[in-house]
Amino acid sequence: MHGIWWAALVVSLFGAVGAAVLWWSAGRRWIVLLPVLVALPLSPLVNLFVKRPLYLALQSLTGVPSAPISALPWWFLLLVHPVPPLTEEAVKLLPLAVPGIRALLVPGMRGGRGEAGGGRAATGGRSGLVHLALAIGLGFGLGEAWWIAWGVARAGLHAGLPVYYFGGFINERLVVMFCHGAMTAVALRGIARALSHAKAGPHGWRVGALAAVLGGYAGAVLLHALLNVGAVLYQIGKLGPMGANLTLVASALLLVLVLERIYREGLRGELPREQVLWQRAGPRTEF
Amino acid sequence: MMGGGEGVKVYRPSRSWGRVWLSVPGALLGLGGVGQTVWAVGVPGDMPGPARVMALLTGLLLVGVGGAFLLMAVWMSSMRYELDDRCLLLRCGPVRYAVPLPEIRRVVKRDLAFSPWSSLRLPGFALGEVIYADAGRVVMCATRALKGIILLETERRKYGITPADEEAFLADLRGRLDRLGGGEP
Repeated sequence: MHGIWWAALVVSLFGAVGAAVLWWSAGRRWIVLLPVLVALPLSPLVNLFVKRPLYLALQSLTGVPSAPISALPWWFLLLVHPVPPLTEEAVKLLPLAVPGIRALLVPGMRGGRGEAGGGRAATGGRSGLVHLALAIGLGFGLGEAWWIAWGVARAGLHAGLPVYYFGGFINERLVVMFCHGAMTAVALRGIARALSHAKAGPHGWRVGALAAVLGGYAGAVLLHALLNVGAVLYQIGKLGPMGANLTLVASALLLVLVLERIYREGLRGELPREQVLWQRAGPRTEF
Repeated sequence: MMGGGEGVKVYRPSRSWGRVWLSVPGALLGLGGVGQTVWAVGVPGDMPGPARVMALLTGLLLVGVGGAFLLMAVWMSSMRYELDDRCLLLRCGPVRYAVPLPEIRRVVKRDLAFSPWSSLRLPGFALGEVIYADAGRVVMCATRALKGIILLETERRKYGITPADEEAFLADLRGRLDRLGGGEP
């Protein structure tokens, strides 16, 4: 058996731990794992049925022959660079078509944050958006890891190497899994903002809502495009493995900051449920 | 002010898996570090000097980090809250935080929101100044990191604790705070 299959299995084991942490942090609600399952096949599907036909169409339009990535002209690489971000960030929003999943984001729906008894219970008390995004990213990232493993095994690359030679693949896939979640959070934030526009009133809400959705999606696409720069430069031989790893880590750190900002925004809308046990008389000092 | 008032009562924190969360990673890191240090010192004869030094330093760093985790697992068993008429003393090993009772403005129970920026916070253990996404900086001496934390708010700081016998602790604390005056009915 090709070592990459074992490596994909290791990634999946870490993914299972991540899913358990998500389940636990969302107040032990199983519904948070549904996006993981729904997003699992999305990477292979988008690669087979969207990205591949798009690449072939662009190749036939521009007359660029099929060749290894390092042999492709730079302008063609620039042309196709937005394809994965545009397609993947869109397909990662598909799980929202499932009502049970949408309820994690949309206030007022069954089990959603706005419903009595929902709210904190539904999301572990914290931003449901972040849980949802990380769950989608986890499922999509796992599917992508197996898709890549299948590609490597089918091509017969690195055959005969033991699993520990694929440490780079394991590390990269784990980081990318988180990155997928963080980028989806940016797109979901746009949708959440659009919903708040819709709630605000009938006058002109459609323009505001559309701008919010497109803004969120554009943000996610831009971050994704930035994340992919290091990998592309590595594949065409303009960046060493260390440089590619550093750009990945730097992008992941940037995404940690982005995700934390979104998380904190979500908290602002939720008053802390605190039980005052004792309070000194007189004006309260605010922190 | 470090306690020493009348009628000192000692309260233990609630039980948790914190010691396991500290011991297992600590042991794994420490053993890995020892292994790497031994390997870097002895085995690879043809290893270049800088690579050997890097491997040695990384091994020693792992030993240090693992040792620190194990040390805290030992300290954890000494975690306690000492309450007297003037002060609440939070203790864990050599770490001590004194909370003068007259400075306490409010006592609340609440869940805290996770933030990735943390000093020392694991499931079942939180010690020192920890940043939370909603409450900001909280000085923790607790056996839970997020859920059901008793927050003591003073003018300058917030302290987070998790006494095992919460009812008895709070009744005692309320009584002492009320005797100092200023409590709302």
